Amino acid sequence: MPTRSIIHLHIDSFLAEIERQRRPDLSGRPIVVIRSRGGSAGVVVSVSAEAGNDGVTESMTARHAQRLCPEAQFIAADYQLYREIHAAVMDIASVYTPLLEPYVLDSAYLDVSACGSLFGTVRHIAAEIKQKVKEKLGFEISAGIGTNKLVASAASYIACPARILEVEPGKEREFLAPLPVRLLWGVGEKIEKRLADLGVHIIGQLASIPERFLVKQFGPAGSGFHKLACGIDYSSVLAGYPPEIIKIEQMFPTGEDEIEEPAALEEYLPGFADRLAEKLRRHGRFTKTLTLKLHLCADGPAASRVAVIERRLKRSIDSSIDISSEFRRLLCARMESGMKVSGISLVLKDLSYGENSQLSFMSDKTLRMRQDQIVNAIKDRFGERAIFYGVALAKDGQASFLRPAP
Amino acid sequence: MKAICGRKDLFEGVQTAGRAVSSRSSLPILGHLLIRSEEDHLRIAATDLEIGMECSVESNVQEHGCLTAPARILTEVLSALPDADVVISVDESNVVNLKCGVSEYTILGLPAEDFPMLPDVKDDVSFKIEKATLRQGIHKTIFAVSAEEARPQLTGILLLLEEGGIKLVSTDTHRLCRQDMSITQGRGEAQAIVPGRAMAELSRLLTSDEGELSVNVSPSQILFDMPDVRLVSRLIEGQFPNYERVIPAEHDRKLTLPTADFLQAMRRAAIVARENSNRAVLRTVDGKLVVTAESGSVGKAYEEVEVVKEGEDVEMAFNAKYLLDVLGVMDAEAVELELTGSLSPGVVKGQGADDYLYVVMPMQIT
Repeated sequence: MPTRSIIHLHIDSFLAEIERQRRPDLSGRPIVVIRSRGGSAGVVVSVSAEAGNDGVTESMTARHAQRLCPEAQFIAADYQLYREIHAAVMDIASVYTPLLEPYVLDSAYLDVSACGSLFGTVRHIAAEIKQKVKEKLGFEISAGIGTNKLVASAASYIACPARILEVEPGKEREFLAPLPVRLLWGVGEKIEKRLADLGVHIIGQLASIPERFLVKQFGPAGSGFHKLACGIDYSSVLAGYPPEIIKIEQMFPTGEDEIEEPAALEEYLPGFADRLAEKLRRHGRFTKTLTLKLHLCADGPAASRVAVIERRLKRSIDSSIDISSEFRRLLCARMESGMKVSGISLVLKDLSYGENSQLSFMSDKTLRMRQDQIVNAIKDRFGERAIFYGVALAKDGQASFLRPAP
Repeated sequence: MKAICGRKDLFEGVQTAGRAVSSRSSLPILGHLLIRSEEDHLRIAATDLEIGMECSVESNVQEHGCLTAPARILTEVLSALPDADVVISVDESNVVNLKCGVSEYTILGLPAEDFPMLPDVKDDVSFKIEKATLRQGIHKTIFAVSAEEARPQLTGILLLLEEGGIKLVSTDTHRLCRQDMSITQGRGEAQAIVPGRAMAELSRLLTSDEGELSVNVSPSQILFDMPDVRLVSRLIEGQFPNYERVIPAEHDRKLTLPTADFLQAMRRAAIVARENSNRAVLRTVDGKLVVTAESGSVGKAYEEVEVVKEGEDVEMAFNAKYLLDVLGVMDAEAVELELTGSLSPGVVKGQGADDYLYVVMPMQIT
């Protein structure tokens, strides 16, 4: 297999830095961006370096963050703005390779293996992107370079803030060895604890354990952990810009009172579906496969931590109402009594340019499309919060501006 | 019954009526043709209970009577016999005998009385129309008939008999055709949804441009009566959609294009468009209509057609096949496209021709 050249770009404290740019008066002050759920409830989604020094981390509840860093400026996330700036970063990166995979809002993988003759060395490409992002958008990015996605991702973690780190081919295992095991994909809190019980804290320790022992301990996933620990990762950079999937994920804070019953999640769906549909339409795409993931609480009765249900439609859709009703159907089909949900992911796959976009005289589709067209025009002119489904007022954070600030 | 016919005449009659034979019926008699003698001719009939056809063939009738014979076998045998007179007869056991020169075939028939009678459609509501006019009308509307059985009303053509004329209307919900025609004689008013299949068969029968046919309409059946052939069809029950609501009352942009040039450009662009849901994008640029199509697996198409534009510039996507269908039946030298918004229906008309209207929904432009 020829050696690959993968860059992992990471925009440092992305959301917090966007807010700092928007409000220069916050210069030097700790910033915590929260996804508001109305009232004083919310989850931390981005932390500036200053707030990070006080122990504030992502996924923490806003209340907890406030206790840790009372002087921090708490700002409600403005995802429309973040998405626009993220798209601008992706536009800069996409000049270098079509193999560009956006990964959440603040990072992306680039496969530049075949771009050497056009743009120079991989380090040169990473440096150019870093410089252009800084010049055009004013953000610092870190870049990790490696022969696979895992190593590039770990390298960008070490390179943060604002550096470029290249791991030479053949030195992947050596590079990963001193890093904590939680940097490996699939190693969450629970697995990390189980590994710690085995005396394994760093990746080098994990790599030295025989694969068959790990398989015995963790099932088939054990084999994957062993390969990753040895620096072996064959996963491809999925050309995803324009995106191949469109996703929304909402994790609820882990306080007992914050966990949702599945039935209560129905109220979130119109708002989520509206945002998914808007993303879809902005890329001129339609979707044919919808996946719903319910992240379940550990103390619930379900055997698995994630309940997944997927549906492939006969026809592609792109309207908010169609997407909402399909997800409602999935939710109803997957709900079980006693389930406690700590998070929800809605994913649109099989994105196409709409093989079935012929309009009809006698279908509601045309009416819905006109409605969506008008909603898009209003949002373009007056902002994302200007219009949304009334039901979203009850649950979705995007409507929380109508409530008093915490 | 015993009669002598020319092989060719009998074969043509069997072929014509045979188009109404049911191919999938569980009733064996519906796979048969009924042949009945009348003075100096034979009447050959078939039905699948939805449509029935009856044609007459000149014959030297020696013994009057009637018989049935399996349509497929009879057609095959007659197609292969030499061109000479055929003697057709039947015995008491319903065994049909065919003699032609030295060839002789006995074919097992069924009792003629088991054959369902073609309904008698009264002429309380009726009209007469030129054959050529009706054939043109069917030609210009039948392509928009829906193939979806889920909405049976749309699988037919709406026939509207009004004062002084008739209208044919068809729609598959993506496009709609309306053809106005004058009649030579008429009585009453009627609305009937005639199955698309019946209209297609009728169109095949209207080969001669000369002469007229009479049409009788009853609440559940329609009869198209020509001198040598009769076609009876049941009507589709239900309400045809209010097609007048679909026709835009106004437009803010109008394109006038030479029909032949536009048709040729669309034909070429459709080669690429068919690989991408038939999507063709129409855009006006500097006095030209630019037609483009794009497919990831094939490539791109670019065409220009001279256009006279009224109103703002246009950018809309249409199903290339839907435009080709209508351009292919247009007689006028220039065609007019009346448009409004990118999600609103467009109207296609022949310049100076008010008797034909085509309304087509666009494709979503991305």
